[in-house]
Amino acid sequence: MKSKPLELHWLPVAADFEGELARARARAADDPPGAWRALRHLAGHRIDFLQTGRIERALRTAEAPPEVPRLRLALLGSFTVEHLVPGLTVGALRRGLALEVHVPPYGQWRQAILDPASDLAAFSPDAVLICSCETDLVPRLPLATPPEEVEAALEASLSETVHRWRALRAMGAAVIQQLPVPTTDPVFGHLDRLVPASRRAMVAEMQHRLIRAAREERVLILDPVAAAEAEGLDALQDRLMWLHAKQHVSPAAGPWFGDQVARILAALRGLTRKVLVLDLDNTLWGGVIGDDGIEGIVIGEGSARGEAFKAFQLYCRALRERGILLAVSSKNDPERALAAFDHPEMVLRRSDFAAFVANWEDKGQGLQRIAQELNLGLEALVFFDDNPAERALLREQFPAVAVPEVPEEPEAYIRCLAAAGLFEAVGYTPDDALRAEQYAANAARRQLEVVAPDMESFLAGLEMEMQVGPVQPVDLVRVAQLINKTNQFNLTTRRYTEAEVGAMIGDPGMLTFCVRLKDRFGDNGIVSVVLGRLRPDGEGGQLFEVDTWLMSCRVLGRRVEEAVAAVIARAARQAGASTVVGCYRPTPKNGMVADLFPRLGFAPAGADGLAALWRLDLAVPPPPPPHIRLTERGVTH
Amino acid sequence: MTDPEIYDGLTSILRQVFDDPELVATPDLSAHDVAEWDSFNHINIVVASEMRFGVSFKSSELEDLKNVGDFVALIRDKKAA
Repeated sequence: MKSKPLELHWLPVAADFEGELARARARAADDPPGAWRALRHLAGHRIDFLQTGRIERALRTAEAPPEVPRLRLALLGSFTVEHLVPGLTVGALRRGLALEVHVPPYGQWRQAILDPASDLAAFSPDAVLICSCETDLVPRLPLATPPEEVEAALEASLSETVHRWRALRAMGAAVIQQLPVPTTDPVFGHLDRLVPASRRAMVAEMQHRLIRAAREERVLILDPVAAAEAEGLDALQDRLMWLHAKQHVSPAAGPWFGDQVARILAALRGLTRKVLVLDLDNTLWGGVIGDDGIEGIVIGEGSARGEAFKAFQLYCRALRERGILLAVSSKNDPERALAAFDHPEMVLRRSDFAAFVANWEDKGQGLQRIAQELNLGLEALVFFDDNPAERALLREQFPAVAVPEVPEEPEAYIRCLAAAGLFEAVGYTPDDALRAEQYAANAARRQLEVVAPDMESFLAGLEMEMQVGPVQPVDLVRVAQLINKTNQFNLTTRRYTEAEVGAMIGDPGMLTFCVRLKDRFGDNGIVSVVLGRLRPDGEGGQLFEVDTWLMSCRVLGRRVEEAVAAVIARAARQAGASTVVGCYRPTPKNGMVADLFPRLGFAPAGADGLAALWRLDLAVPPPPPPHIRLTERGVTH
Repeated sequence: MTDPEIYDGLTSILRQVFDDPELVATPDLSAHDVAEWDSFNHINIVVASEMRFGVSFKSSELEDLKNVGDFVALIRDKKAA
């Protein structure tokens, strides 16, 4: 009997796959973006590898709408990887990312990396996934090889790999290295682990080294073994297919594998969820607080069910600690819902939630309120509710919200949420850990806004302190994060990978600005990024052209952008420019900055396609606002 | 499992693999009759059949197949064993 293939078990089953696919195909002729959206909807279901292949073929006649982020992925591997393309493309589609995949001819990927005239270089990938098999990365040695020689062989092989990573990063690509999947059966048994030159010991050793090196080289890791562990390794690989077609990942596991990679790619483009919205009754505890009362609900030690709910709460709290915001959407009497958190076994506290909506309204309205309160779009939300009717309704009303198919038993909740991979990240910074606290501090700031007599005294009362300097290597992770996920206060919405920004900070023709903001309620971390280029103005002088300017919405309405403009103007003038040229590229989401340049005193300077151009004469630079104390490269003004 | 049941199952698989609603699995049908029946799609058919019929093939068993009729016989024998 075959092992069950890896399934997308966290997604709902499609009610009418054939019908939806036929309708999407029919639409492609006169509405290619509509067809793309219909296929994206279909991809959000529990589809198998044949269905995935059919969606991918239909996708070739569709066209991603203009606001959808694009990503060019090169797939390099020493085993057959072409069969993984549908899973990858459809996995990306599921996350709202338009993926273009390039696969070099079989067996030529190593040469392609080193040859500047290769198709790979011409493709100019945004990201590269290296699918390595065990034999690629781990040299084969006689079983009796002494430990020092094993050590030397592993180091030599590792340094080749690192060399390749560097070459790929020099192309401006984010690199994702797949950890090798062990394919060799033991020759002793348990003892293999203790014999240095055994395959098992060497693969394990190489995995440790690869992970350490990746951390240093800023390379991302795809760990299919860890991800598949819960489901069984046999489901990932298929020995027959390996021998038959050099397919290291079983075709049936293609959609699953594609989704694993797509979640990393989506995170590279900032398409990752930020908020976990939880239902209360039978989701965070057993029973109904309104009917059963605080003594009647099931939570904590004493019963297996109670412990399952407690474990789920502990997992939610761990997510909060890594920076995922928690919120509540519950059909309940608000006082009663809050009172439940007085239960002694409750792990989560009222203060753990950044937003709390308990009433008898439609849940869709509640979710809109939560998004508004947190200043985020609906596409930042994950809705976790045990009630299938609520889930179905929400999926229909607001397809932008991710709604995992919650299993019936509470002991399976964590597995479902973790497997869905909705909170995948490509970096972890101290800013992330602070985020939940920052949102709590924002609530305190709003409180000050209510009591302050006017805007001036509110801003003065914040005691803001802004620190500005060029982007430094240590800032890269957070800066790339902001570049890829900021949609609203973003003048040009140009997306760059960490590697691309890394190249800019080494470029003497570029000026980069990284803005940090503190106030009396706490440290907001990096809140704004500006990237721009100095170029001749055609009249013998120089101008400074703003390529990217974005700001986190957490600090809106505090005149931070005015302070940033003053800093840019001064730095540009010091660098020899007489003019700053800014550009506003409209997207469906950045309407709030359409008038930013005129507000800051820029004059219209024509248009470039849909983009509006603005210029500022540096003879009269704008004054900084009075409420923000400015620190620049250690010099206080 | 009867032969007609296996043929029905294979018809469904072939239609999905080749996105062709007209395809019908018949005893004489082989890779030569379908333009897109390459090694890649061949493996997709094998894997989908393993999943659908709950069987597992050995590489030696797959080497001697000439047409759909052979494949159906192989599946029938495996289900009976």
